[in-house]
Amino acid sequence: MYYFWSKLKTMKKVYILFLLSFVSFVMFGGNDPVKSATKFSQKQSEVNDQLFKIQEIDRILKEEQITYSELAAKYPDLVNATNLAPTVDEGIFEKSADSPLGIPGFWWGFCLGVVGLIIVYVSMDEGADRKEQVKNALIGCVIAYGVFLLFYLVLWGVLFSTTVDASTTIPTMIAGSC
Amino acid sequence: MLRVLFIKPIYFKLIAFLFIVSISGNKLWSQKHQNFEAKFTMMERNTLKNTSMLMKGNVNFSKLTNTLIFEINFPNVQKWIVRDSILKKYEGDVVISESVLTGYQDLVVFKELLELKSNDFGLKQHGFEMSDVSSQDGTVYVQWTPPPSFKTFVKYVTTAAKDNLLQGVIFTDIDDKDFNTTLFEEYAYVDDLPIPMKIVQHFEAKEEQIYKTIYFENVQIR
Repeated sequence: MYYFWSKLKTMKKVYILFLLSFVSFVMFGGNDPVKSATKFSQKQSEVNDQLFKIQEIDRILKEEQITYSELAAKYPDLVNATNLAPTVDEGIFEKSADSPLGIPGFWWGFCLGVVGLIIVYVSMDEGADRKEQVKNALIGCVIAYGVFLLFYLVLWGVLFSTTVDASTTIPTMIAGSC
Repeated sequence: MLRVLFIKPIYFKLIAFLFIVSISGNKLWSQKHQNFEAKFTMMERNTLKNTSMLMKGNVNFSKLTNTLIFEINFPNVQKWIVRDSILKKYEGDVVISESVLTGYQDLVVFKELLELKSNDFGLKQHGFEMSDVSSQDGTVYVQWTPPPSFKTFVKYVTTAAKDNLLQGVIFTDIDDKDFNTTLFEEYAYVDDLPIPMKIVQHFEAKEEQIYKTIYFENVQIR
């Protein structure tokens, strides 16, 4: 009888132990805390590593109290290495989520003129994004024509002034020698 | 809630930033405070595009007017005012742009729901179920299973909390990739409110690999 009771007590202990182990496994065992902790600390280091140079720029700004242009002039390597944005707004050069081939509307208009503008208009879905990108393409288009016109005028100006110089200087010399 | 993570990339950075800033002000709802003000430094790097941004200035959030104001002084001087999901950018007194922030309403709702003291990033309220709990060195890690509507892109979410304060959140997608991580560090008590003075974030998508850190200084809560 004693043997039976002691066996039962042992069984009870084993059962409780098993139950506790099961509960603790369900509650705490499935998600490895070491793995989770590592994941969080790895992310922290990864972000810190990636932002190391920008941290350096921030330190310089705090110490020297300088503007962006002063920073770019004094520390060009650092600014170029990080490709640090000069403004908080990338404006018309910012591409839309579904702009054609991932190229901002401005450059479509600038490089292909009216054709680029049409490509942007046709390839994008109707909405505020398309409106914005078509507007940017139009700006690009106008700037491209403006640049072309300016180049054309300058070229003609140079050619014209060269011709005038030639026609005014040489005849005098020729006349003098004659 | 998670729609803020899948909005158009053109607005993602801005909304992520506004969201992060709003987290610091979220406790205002549950308290009698009306105003959150701080100096901020935000550094961001997109490794896929090789672009970086460093932004410094002051931020002010008013509960009374539900207005978020950014006085940016680096890299250029600008003022941003966000009210009723409309962002107006000023240079001096001149409005230089005006845009509607898609997803900002989600943000406000989220902001109201979220309280750092709940330690769950508002996940429970959005149907996420606690599937696993583990603990190490006083930090409690909870794994959350998403509701059916999120299961197409979120496999699970892991939160870490220590001393009843949220330390971080990691969203893992169905390919076991951690696509969004936010860490809340260097808590300071301002007027008895815990404020994370450093917020670290990593966001990964097809065309974006964004690493970001935001620092707050001189936090004032009134």
